Amino acid sequence: MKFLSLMLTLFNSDVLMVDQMENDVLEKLREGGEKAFKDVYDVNREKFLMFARKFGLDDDEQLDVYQDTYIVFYQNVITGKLKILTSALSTYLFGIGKNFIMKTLKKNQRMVRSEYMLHIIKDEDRAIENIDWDESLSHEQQLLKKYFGTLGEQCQKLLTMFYYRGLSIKDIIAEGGYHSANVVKSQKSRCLRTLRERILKPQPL
Amino acid sequence: MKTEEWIDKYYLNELSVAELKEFEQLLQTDAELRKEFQFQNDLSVSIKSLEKDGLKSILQQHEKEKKLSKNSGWKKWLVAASIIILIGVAGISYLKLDSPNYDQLYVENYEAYPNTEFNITRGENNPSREYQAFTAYESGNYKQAILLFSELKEGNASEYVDFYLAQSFLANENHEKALSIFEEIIQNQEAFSDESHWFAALAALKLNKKTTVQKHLSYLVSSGGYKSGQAQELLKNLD
Repeated sequence: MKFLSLMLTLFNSDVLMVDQMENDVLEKLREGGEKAFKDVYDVNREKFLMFARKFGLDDDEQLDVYQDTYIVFYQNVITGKLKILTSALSTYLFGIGKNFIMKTLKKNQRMVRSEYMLHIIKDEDRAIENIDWDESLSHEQQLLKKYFGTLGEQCQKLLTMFYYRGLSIKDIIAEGGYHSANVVKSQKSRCLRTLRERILKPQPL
Repeated sequence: MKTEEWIDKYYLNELSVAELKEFEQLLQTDAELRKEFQFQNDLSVSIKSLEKDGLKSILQQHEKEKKLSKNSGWKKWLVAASIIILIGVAGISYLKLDSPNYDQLYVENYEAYPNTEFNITRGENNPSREYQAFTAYESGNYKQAILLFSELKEGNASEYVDFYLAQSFLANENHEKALSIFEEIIQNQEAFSDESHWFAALAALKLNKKTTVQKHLSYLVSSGGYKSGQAQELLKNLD
């Protein structure tokens, strides 16, 4: 009971603390590259590990779950799915994290305790409605993943800007040093064609 | 709008609300559009998964580094000492590159690439620039070939002109220039990309750029195509 009320106090204070500063973090992540990626990871690390520890995860599991959680959050920021935080960042992370915690506990058959405890953080579901869970890939997606790496650097960069980072054509032109939107589009078509050909006529990798 | 235009606009967030509705309807009825959209959607999922793998290894490495920096003083000295030893070893292997066996390996493996692209009919009247370039190349007049292929490269030449220009530089022992063109061909995925890996490796061998040699040879070995056997052999002999 004591633990329960402690957790609830923690979450409530988090919700109240949502402010501009937390949303500045998103901006920092979008602009800041690898350094920002690591900085924000470090800042939120201890609090999350403490949270995960309560569910009986060992040190390695805690870290693994935190990394997976943080990556889901980060990818949502980078791909533009998460534009504004409606709860504190830690609350958002706990919300994502509980699914990974569940998975880990299930794997190790430590269900009962976990389901009871995860029940208490249902409020956070609201904050993470738009999350894409990285479920297992289909056969086609696995093939694409495998052959994407055989494309030239320029193609990989362009396709990543287009399909992953969701950049506008203007940003792609600026970042990729292209002359025009037409060049971007025809270059992208060529890259897609090459990728298709490699999958249809596979060479041993 | 054509299929491609619809999908491009979708990914670029350029569809208006009305267009988005129309797009969703078209996806139900237009099989070709649906198939293409599915393909590009699968691609976006797989890129995301690749990015995820990369991010995970950055974090794992980051944790390792943090653990390392937490180590006590004497351990730091130990690390420093091993780095110095590593630099020493790297230095020695770098010096080894200067030894003549790299030249020897080059000689054993290098063979100018034959003209497989342009059919030269002897005694042709009003020969084209391309004819002249390949004739020069075939007769071993590489300086002339460089001039002519360079000129062709300036115009709207076929992709293979780049490859034969690089070949001419290599044969003329201008390895630096040859390497940069081969790498350009690989980067742009032009014709002869696989062959370019092999010759880039040889040019780098001559320039004592061991990691570049390894990079290109490893590609050939893993691709299992052009010269993969010979690449494997050469890779073994580098050390």
